[in-house]
Amino acid sequence: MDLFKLEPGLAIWTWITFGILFFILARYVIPAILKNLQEREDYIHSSVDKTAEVEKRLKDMESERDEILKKAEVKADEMLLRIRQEGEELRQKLAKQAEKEASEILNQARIQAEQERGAMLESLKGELADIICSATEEVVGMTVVGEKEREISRELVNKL
Amino acid sequence: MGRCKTVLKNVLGKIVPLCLFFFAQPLFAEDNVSSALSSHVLNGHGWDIFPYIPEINLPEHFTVHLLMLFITTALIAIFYLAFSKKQVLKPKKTQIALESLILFVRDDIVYPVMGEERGRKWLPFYSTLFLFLLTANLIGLIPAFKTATGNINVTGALAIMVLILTFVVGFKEIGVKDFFKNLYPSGTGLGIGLFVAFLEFLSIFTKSMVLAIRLFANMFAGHMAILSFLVLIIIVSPFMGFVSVPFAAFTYLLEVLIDVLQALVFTLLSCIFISNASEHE
Repeated sequence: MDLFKLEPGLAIWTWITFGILFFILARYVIPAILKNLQEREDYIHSSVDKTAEVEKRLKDMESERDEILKKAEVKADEMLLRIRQEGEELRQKLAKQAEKEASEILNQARIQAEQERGAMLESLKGELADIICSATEEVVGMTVVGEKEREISRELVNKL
Repeated sequence: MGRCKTVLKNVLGKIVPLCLFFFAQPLFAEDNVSSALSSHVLNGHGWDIFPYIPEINLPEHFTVHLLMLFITTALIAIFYLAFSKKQVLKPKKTQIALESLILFVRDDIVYPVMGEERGRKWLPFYSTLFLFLLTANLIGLIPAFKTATGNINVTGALAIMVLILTFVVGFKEIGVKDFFKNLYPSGTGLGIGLFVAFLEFLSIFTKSMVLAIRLFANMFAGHMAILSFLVLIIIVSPFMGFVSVPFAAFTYLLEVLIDVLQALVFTLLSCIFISNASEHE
């Protein structure tokens, strides 16, 4: 095997083929590739910029939303507090009114009971006077007790 | 992950055995193992494409390695010309693959060594060199094709080109006087200084020679290793196939890596040599 056999023709053709390839790549291919790469790089950069802008807008919107939510929360709290206060006032008012009505009813019932008790006492006294008179008649044995005596016995019972 | 497994399975299960089959077949047909090996790796006028297909006899001044050089150039030119006309803003797989090779040369070889400003001017040259070597190296792994870079004349021609460029760029950018002045070490005596300068001058040539020999030797040795494993089947026993075929398959896969690596090494070192020649010390 002659590994180191000199072949000047092959060496010259190596330069020629390399030269042709170099010409083709340098003239038509590499500038086109570099141009395309630059365009792609610009496109990517602009896309990144746009994304950053959108991201910023999104963040702004998020913070705006948070602010609105906070305001709404404060407002809701205020409303809740006011409603609670109003409710409490209403409850107290109703309780007072109910208490007042209950005491009125109680007073009326007390007065009515008092009246009824008085009437009952009156009638009891009358009946007691009648019993006294009847008892006196039984003891005396004759009807001596007139209307006048009955009145006297009633006054006596009343005094007792 | 699943896709990688499928690709690996296809490569190991179908492509590699097929390649080995076509590699091994001509060897079985040859009576002389040595001539089988040499016919596969050396240059010649006969191109054996596949077993059972008669060998194609090329014209007198036209050799197989030269044909491989033409095929390499044509492949790169056709692929890249077709691709450069169809470039889009959102690239597809082919565009990404072809572009990434140029980007690799730009971002990992040329710009780090030469800087962006100078590198932009030199990018076409190094891209061409890298693609040329990569394709020429890899094409040899396809059955029926041969490795032109396994020929010292091809690698030597490329190394001489780098050597000439080293001098031309050095003379042009820093001047002949400064170029030679850079070889002389400062702060040494005249005798030692001249001796070191002479060695430095020689090293410019040896570096280029080493470039050529490294690439040639790697390409040649890789193919020889694969073929040697397969030849064991003939020399020792057919049962050797159970050992030598897996070894050959492994070497074949390793060769793919070496092909890429050697293209990178040649391009990177060329870049460093040319760049260093034009720098003031």
